Amino acid sequence: MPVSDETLMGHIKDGDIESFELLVKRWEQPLLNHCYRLINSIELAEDLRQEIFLRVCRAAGTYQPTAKFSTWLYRIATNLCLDTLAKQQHRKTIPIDSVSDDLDAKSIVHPVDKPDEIVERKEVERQVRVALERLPENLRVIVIMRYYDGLKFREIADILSCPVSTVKSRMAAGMRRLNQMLSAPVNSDEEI
Amino acid sequence: MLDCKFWQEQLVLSNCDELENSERQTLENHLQECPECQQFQAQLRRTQHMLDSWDAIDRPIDIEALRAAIHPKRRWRFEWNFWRTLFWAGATAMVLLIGFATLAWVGVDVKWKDNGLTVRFGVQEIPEITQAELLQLLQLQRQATSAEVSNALNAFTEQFETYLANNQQQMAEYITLIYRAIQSQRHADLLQMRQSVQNLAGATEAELMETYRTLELLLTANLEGERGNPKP
Repeated sequence: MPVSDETLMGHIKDGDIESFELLVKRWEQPLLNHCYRLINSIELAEDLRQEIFLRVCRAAGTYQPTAKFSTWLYRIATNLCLDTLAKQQHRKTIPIDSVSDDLDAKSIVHPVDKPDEIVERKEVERQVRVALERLPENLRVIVIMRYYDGLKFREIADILSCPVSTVKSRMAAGMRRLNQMLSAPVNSDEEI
Repeated sequence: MLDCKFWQEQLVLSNCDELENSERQTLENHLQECPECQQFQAQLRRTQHMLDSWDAIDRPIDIEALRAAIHPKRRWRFEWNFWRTLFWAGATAMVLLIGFATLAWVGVDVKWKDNGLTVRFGVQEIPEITQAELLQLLQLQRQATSAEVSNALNAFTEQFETYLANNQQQMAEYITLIYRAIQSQRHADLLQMRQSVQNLAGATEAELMETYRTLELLLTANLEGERGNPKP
């Protein structure tokens, strides 16, 4: 039976570096993708992931397992991503070039075989990323956490410190807007 | 009558598996008779299918960089532990060294200073000591010597106590040498010194000084013996 995250944190508190590295191994991919989808940049997401693990390491001494570790971790990650986004207020849309660069640079978990399918899939992905980028931040966070991170509404409410009913209504509003944006092709250089 | 906005929200929640069975059934009933919500449902499926196209990325963390970011603290902790260990080891060694040195050389040094006698007993210096205090020290020192020399030493010490009572400076200085001799516990030398002292009764000043010189020679040789130098 694998050791729980909360137990590992107890060991990290006592200075156990191996437990810390095990925790990093366990959470490196979920955290990277969480940041990547919120920030929309692989490089920045990697930097944020590094920063999040550093904060976890530093906060281990004061960590109290009153809530699930994942809730605590996602709260750190989400707050850091939102702070980073707030500092980039001037960036209203994703530069189309940066999307293309990310598409070329990243390694895809489920690659498709045929070249024309790859091209088509990349185009759909571009539309999704642009549409998500255009969602208001409070809706985008919830759509990403529910749809991509697979978190329950209860967990999202705990992470964002808001009622479950708010999470549900924002999720519905977010999906409704995505429906509208993705029902027709989206150009990244259009005005929001 | 609920409007379609409500049902479309219910559709989203249903896709997220967040509806009770009864709520889901009610939603199904509404969908069967509402073309607008049916269209929304179809578009929602397309949207979700499109969302699936944004694949997760798989990039392992640069664990070395992460270690390096944490490293300064760890190295500091390691160095602190190292130096702390070294410090305590050094301090312990120093304390032991001082302790052994003190034990190895608990001597008595009596000197005239300014207004009177000053006695250093081991590392402790007692300035302007009274006659009674000095006699007490002599008594203690006498008790500290071994049984073999104690008899000779007692008689010898009593003689010196008499002279000391007269505050004779030179005698007080000799006490220092004598006590070092006591430490070395050289029985024969002590006996010879005792003899010299006994002969002092009624001696002239010249004879007294000669006896002192004899004592001094004996004690100097004795001290050199203590330091490991062979006697001539």
